[in-house]
Amino acid sequence: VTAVADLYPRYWAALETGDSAAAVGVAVGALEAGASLLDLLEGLVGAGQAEVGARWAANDWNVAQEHRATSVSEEVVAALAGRVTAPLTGRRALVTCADREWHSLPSRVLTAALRSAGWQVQFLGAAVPARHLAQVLHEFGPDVTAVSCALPTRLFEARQMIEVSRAAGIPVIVGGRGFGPQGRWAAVLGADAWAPDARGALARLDTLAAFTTPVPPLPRLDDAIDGLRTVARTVVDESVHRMTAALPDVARYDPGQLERTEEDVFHIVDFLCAALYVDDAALFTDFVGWLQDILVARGVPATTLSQGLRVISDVLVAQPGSYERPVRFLAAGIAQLDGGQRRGSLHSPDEQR
Amino acid sequence: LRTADALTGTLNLRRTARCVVHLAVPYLADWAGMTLVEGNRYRRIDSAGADGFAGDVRAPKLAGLGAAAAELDAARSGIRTHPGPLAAEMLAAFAVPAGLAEGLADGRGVLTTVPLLVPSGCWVLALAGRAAPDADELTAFTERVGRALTAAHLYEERATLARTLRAALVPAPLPQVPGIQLGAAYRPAQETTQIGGDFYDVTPRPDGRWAVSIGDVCGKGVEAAVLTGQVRQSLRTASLVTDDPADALRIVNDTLLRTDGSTFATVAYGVLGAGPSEWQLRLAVGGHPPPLLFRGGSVAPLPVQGTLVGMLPEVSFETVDLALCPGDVVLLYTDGVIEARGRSGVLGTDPVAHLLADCADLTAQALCERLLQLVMEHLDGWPHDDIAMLALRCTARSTA
Repeated sequence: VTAVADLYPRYWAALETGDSAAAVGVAVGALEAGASLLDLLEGLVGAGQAEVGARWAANDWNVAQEHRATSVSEEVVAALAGRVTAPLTGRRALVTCADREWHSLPSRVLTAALRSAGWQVQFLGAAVPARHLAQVLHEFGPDVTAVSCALPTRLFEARQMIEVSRAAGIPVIVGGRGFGPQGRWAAVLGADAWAPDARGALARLDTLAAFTTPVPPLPRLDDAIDGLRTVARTVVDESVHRMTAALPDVARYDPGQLERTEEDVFHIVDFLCAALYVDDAALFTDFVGWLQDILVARGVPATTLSQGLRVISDVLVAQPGSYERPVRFLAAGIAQLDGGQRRGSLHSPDEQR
Repeated sequence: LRTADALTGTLNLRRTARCVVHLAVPYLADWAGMTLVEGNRYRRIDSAGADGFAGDVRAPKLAGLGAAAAELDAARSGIRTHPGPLAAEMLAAFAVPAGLAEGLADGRGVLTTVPLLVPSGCWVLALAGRAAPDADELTAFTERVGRALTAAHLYEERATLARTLRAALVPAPLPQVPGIQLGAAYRPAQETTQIGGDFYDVTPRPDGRWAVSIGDVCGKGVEAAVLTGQVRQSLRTASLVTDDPADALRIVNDTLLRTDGSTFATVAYGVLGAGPSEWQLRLAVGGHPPPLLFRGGSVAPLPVQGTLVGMLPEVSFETVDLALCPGDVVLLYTDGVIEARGRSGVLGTDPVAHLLADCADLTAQALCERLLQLVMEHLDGWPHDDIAMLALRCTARSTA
């Protein structure tokens, strides 16, 4: 049996060129030669996607290349899953992405891993509305709901999935980068369990209780999230307007660059809301560190983001209502960037992916 | 109280039964098993992990239990307490696990059985422990459990009915067509049931070719979905009579006018077959947005048009012929895609065409998922119409 790591260069070459037949060939060949499904899912598919994310973050790859590679990865997972059968053990799982969460590959990997361990799995796919989940839960009657969330900005939707499932007494295991390093926001949002990957999920599910209780409501700290959502459009318009006036390099942006700046500011506000939701400034500062690397890789001066955050903070302070927490989180982001410029970047490029 | 709490959460039969054995141990016994007897078949679930409800395995026949079946039958008449030693038939009747069964056979412990009647049959709850459970506690427990099981049975009956009806109203899984990769996405306006008035179909024709359709029936939700059934059925019938898509749409138009008069639809309908060296797609549309063709790096709408289907007696449909080469992608979609209205207005055709050009080398399924993502992110939570799309990606020359 060839070690999975030895096959990786050939697999990556296929992934890089979007050659799905070759990628499927490497993976299926290894499976037929005796490699384990979990090893292949981790060592080929997982490793490949991590590299895809790093290439995109470093601006070596465009979005189309990233999409093509992800599509190949999906084919590989489907091909592997189709070749592994296991007798049913009697356990049932429902696997789903949170609403608005379109990164479905991790949940496809989990689905394949669970089936190979004898679980009967219903896979609901990407961006599933919580109301649909509620209906399926009663029809299918799983022993666990697995919720995947790759982006912290989808934690609101992930929480809805947790609420719906736990209301039916069905425990929830969560996973994905959206839940933060070591899944630090999983417990805050009421998940019964968290796992770093498919292998970890299989192990964790062996000791997970079959029943759970309805999740208690989250404490309401202030009106900042509702307020921020109401004024988001104004904050974005006003911030971009002021940045154009105050920052010489932004003043030279063409319409396309301005549009992307506007998207970035929307994104910043989104992540600010997510950080407020779990009441953890680290969610925001992690994002800011990641965004800084992305922007710098695309030729944006290192000082622009920090200046942009200051503008957003100024605009926010001028809005009616209380924005004490978001302003504090913005300050933490600014402090990290200003400190980071002296020490060099602290963040690996694929941190958020 | 804990019993009531845990049982009220779920409507699912298997989960309810699982919950019963979960709650019974160690509250009432060391082990609890449930056997559902329905007609001449039975299913089991127990606190040690046995689960006869998993998978799609048919419930085994009672006759297979041999002499033990009589004990199961006797347990249906009322609460029974069996101090040990217990006969092998008793232990087999309730599937008491090996280790525990040994003790009971030797006379250590007590087995108590309680019948719980439900609309379709009878559950027998079997409890094994060192002593019999307290009578009052057992009564209180079985009353609550009985109500929950009855509710779950009624829900299951409804759910089975709904599932069967729903299966006829939502798109069927796509077939494998060698040389043409298929992909689709479907997002009805109604989130809970995921049923709507859009449809797509790829079905084999008797002549070895494939009938490809997508459409949008007036209205929303379940009512519209029922009408899609009519339209899809008429299309299938029409395809038996003619291989000209425009003719097929004329037949569907006449059928709808005769049956209802208030039902109309937009439809794109094609016949896909292997030509001598290329794939041939013959296509007609009725009131439907023209499908997009990706070829050689650029995207253009197919030059085909026609009137709404089922609205007027006088209609105009035309059939266009298209040869598909490897790399070509045809994207069919309903107007829920291009008319998606979000904060920044209506999506329109241009972003769809751009995405098709960028993603034409993805699998047809991945392409549709990307497009659905584009539409949903454009909507950003705003309400939407039913959305459906179907992509045909030519991956190999025809081998006819």
